[in-house]
Amino acid sequence: MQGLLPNIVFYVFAGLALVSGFFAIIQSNPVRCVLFLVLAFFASSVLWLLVQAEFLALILVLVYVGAVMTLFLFVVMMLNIDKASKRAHFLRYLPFGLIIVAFLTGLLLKTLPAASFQTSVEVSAAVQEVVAEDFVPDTQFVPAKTISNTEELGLVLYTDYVFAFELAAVILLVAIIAAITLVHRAPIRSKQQNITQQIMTRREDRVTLVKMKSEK
Amino acid sequence: MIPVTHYLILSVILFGLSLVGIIINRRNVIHLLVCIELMLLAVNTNFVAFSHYYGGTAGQVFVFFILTVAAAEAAIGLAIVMLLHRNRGNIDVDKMNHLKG
Amino acid sequence: MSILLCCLIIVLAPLVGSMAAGFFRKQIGRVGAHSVTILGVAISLVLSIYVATLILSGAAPVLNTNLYTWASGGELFPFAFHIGFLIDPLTVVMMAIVTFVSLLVHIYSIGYMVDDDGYQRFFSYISLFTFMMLMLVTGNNFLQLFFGWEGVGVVSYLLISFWYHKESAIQGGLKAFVVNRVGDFGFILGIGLVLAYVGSLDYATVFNSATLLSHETIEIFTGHAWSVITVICLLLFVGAMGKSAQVPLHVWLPESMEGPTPISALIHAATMVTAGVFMVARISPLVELSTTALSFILIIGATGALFTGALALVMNDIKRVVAYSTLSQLGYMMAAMGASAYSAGVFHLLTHACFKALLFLAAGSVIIGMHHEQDMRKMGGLWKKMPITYITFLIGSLALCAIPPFAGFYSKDTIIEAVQLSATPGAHYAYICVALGAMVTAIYSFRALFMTFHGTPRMDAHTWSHVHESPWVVWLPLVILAIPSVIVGYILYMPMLFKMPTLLSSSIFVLPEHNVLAEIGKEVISPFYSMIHAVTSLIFWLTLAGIFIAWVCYIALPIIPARLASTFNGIYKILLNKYGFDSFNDFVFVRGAKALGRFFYQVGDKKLIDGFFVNGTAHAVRWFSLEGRGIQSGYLYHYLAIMVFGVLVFLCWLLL
Repeated sequence: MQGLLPNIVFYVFAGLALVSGFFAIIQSNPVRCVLFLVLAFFASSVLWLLVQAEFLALILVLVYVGAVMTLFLFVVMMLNIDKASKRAHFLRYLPFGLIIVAFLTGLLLKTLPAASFQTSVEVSAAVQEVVAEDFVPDTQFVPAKTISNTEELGLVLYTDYVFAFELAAVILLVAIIAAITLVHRAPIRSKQQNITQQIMTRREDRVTLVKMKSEK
Repeated sequence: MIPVTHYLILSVILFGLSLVGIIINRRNVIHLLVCIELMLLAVNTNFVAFSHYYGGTAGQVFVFFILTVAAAEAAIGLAIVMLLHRNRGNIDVDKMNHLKG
Repeated sequence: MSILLCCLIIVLAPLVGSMAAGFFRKQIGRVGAHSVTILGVAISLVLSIYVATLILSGAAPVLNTNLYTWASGGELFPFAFHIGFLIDPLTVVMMAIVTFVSLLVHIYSIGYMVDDDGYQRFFSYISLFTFMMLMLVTGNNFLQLFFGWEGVGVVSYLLISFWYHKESAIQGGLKAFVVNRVGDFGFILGIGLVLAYVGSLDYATVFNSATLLSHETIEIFTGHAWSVITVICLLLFVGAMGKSAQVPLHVWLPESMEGPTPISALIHAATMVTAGVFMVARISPLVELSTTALSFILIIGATGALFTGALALVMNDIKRVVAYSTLSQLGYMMAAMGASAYSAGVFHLLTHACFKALLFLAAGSVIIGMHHEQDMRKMGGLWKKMPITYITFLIGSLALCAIPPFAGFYSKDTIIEAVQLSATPGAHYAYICVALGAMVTAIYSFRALFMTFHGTPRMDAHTWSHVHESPWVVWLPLVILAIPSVIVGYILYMPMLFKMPTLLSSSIFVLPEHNVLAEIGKEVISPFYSMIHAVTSLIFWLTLAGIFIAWVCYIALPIIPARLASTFNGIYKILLNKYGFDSFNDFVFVRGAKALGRFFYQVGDKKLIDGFFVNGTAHAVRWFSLEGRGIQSGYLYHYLAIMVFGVLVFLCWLLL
């Protein structure tokens, strides 16, 4: 896309992302904190759309915000966390933090020479080989029409990266089992009776006679 | 179009902000997890930008898996937070210094 | 039977006796202990006399063999150490003396130690001593000499501390051992020097290379070159100073009187203390070549002769008097050595062994009679009750004072004349010392005699009624010793000293210009003649004057000693304090060593090593760990911050 519009969109939503990230870490109320994070995600999603990663952008909103952030909110509300009081020494560390941010940014700018990346997104001749490597070698299929990002992903996901895909599935399974196991409580207050066991008790198990000398 | 350095700078700033958020966190563990998610977001943005710059899908596949793992990790993290709350009554980070040597 | 075999038996028989009495003391009992040891020493004595007659008459040649190579090195250490015998006239004279006195002391001890618990131990020790002394005198190299030297030192310590329940006995033994050690330090240095410059410790090799050695020099500390022979002789003499109790290492001998009287007689009169004299005679080829060493020996000997004798004038313990008398006579022997009159010194050694042992044993007899009372102020008038002891003591005193014709006269007067004629530097001073010493000797010995045996009894009536003559095992050795005290001087005067070749001439080397005995010998005809001639000598009249003074002070006018003591109070105090030697040693060495030890303990050990190094290290580790512990706060965000910091540093390092 050419023109001024993408730039404006970029700057607006990038600024939104930064601002909401900043507020997310400043907030003392945990619900607001999570909500600002959600806003950051939305902004990022738009930014990803700008670089033609539609599938991921939508997945970010649907899965990440929709499921994971909702889960966060569930937990926050269930645990009934009080709004933490603003501590005085919070401000003491803020400059230190901002210095870290500035430092990281400066480091990045310093190490990457200004002209290391081409300002345009048009691929250069050198990048053509990288692109060519990325394509699946087996497939002789050369699309006649441009395919959607989803299709692109699907083409590589189930062929080149199928192993990683299966592993990701296992990880999710493990996460489920782990989460359940961690929080699972045995029914300690259950008053259930086992009738069969009650009927089948024997005297020998319960009673023992002990001979003792009588005490004066 | 949009130079990739812009995306890089954005992701660096987000990453730095989340680091700062962790370091100055004196409240609770939820806040910690939120900052971690922010960090992952920054990294994902980086990957997506580079994926677009080089034209392949490798970066996006990576982001895909990062999202998966991040979801799993958030789930287990929250389960742990629940347990903490159950056993201690609060999830104050300031009070979690049993590893103090 | 061959001389070698005889000598082996002579040396080993006392050892066998000692081992039997020591290790099997329970099996053989008291009678067995003294029987087996006396048998051993008696065999040694008989064989010694046999060997002596063979060697001294010239029927057998001098024997010098190596029996056994104890150690030898290879290329880097081309020395060899042997055990061997050198049987020459000097050796056989010493062997005879040692075994004779030892046998008599053994017999005497049957009576003296009769009610002691350590009876078998005592006999074992004195036999062991006899063995060590025989090893010393029969050796043909310096190492065996040193072995015997150390051995007699050890046994002397064991015997002085024999009654180990007594604090003073332990201290006396320790003092003897430590002072001997000081002498041994010089001795070892001398032996080492010999080994370094000659390459061998055998007497034959060393003496043959003596003239070669006299040209060598050695630089010690100051860069001033000393003659090697002088240094060697001085160092070896330091050893003799320790063993033969020359000034200033004489301080151990009076304290050694804490031991039983028989050992005082054996060790500290006749044998061990004469080891130094023997050694100087043995190294005469070396000493002759060093005028410095001769002069040193002469002056030290003469000084000891006079000054230690003077101390005997103020002693009240009978054994102490005899001990200081021994110190004085040892000074005479060393003075003789210094004046190059070696034969005279050895002759005096022989006669002294007889009459000093006699005096000690007689003193022991008196002590037994007085129920172990040793203070002469509590004795008196004993001559009626203990006649044999009195007569033998009198004979011993006469011999000691060098009254002709007793034995001491021939040897002691020869020494005094030799010192008078000697050209060694310091001889004039030495002559004055030994001449005055003669008078002092007479005074103290007759003082002891008069105080003990004459005058009115000063003891309580109970003791007086119980005093009686000692049993025959006690007075028989006295009588036996009295005989040589009378006649041995007369008999051996010419053969040993003047009739060429003298008995010891093959063992002793004298430079012609130092040969004072030959000078004296020109005027000597016979012992009888010398005896008559004595009335013209100054020394004889000095001695008589001394006896007269003693008679006046202790029989005629007993108040004189007290008056003298109060008039010359200063001198009296100095004499009582033994010239301050003991005080000096205590102040400088004992306290110095204690202070040094305390310093090393408190500061060096406690503060430095324990406090600083050991505990300090622990403290440092603890401090570091306490500081380092602060990093582990338990807070996640602290850990994270540090991680971030680390990553940043790493990034910087990697990228910049």
